[in-house]
Amino acid sequence: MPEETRRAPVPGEIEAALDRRFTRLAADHEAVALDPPYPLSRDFLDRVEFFTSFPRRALSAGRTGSFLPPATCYRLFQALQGSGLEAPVVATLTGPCFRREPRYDEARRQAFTMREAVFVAGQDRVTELRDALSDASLSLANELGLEARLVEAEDAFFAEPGRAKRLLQRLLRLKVELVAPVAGAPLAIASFNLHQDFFGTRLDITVGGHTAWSGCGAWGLERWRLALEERWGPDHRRWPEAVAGVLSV
Amino acid sequence: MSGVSAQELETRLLRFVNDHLLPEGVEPVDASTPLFAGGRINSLRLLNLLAFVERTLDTEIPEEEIVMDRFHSVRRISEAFGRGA
Repeated sequence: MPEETRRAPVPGEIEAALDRRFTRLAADHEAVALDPPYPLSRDFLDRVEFFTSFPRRALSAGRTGSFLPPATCYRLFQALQGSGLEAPVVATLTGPCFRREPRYDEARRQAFTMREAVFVAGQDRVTELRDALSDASLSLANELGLEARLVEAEDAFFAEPGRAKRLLQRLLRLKVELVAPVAGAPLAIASFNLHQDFFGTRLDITVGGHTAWSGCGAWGLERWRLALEERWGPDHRRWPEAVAGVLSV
Repeated sequence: MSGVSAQELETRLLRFVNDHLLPEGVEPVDASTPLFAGGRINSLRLLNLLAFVERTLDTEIPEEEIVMDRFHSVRRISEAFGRGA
């Protein structure tokens, strides 16, 4: 589309376009759209050891024992507590996430939006979907002209820091991040995680009578916009047609 | 790298995996069964497995030597870290 006929950008428009693209990517990997309820209970966050792994990160929802989601997939896991599933659940959901951080900047916010695809199945299926989704996300980033790459992260969310955590990541590739340059440094714009049976065991979720394994892919909408703006400038009317075309903006 | 032979390590490791490591109801493995398939080994069990190997060898394995290719099965672990490998 010629530049002069493209509309001026409206705040949030690029994030919405990205979200549509990620939703399609998730659907291409069998995910059905769900919208599990807010907020999260203290009991749930206790069961998934959130307060131990991330002390003081949770933001209260204003009522005692009620918290805003620090990650989108938690809402699905809360909804699945105690479920004996007959078949795997492959779902996609989005929503605002809230985290108390030691410091904030444009790439690390108190509130941000995360689209996720979540897989609750057996080990092999979960691993297969996680790997397929990370590869497809890298391809999408390349289509958008981002100089992105997949890297192995060392902060799988549930292991204690130190040697054990490094070894687990080394052996099991629990967390893979898609990074792209923002402000001259690599920024994680998506992560692809294997939870193993962490949620299945703690939340008593089974699939076909066996403890569920799970994994997820998470795309940070604001961070993708920052990466695109870093690459192509703040005004999407000046972005190459091919890039704008991928997002239909 | 150790005073424990590959054969001895395999025997002890196999006994440990089948008697103590695998969750209840899971079929026992043999020395060549892939350990990291079918939900047999989660993070906690993997750390227990590593600890058992290091305790048996009486040494801390350098991190750079801990790669998945060497942990595929009981036999692979034994060949990689037992004496005479």
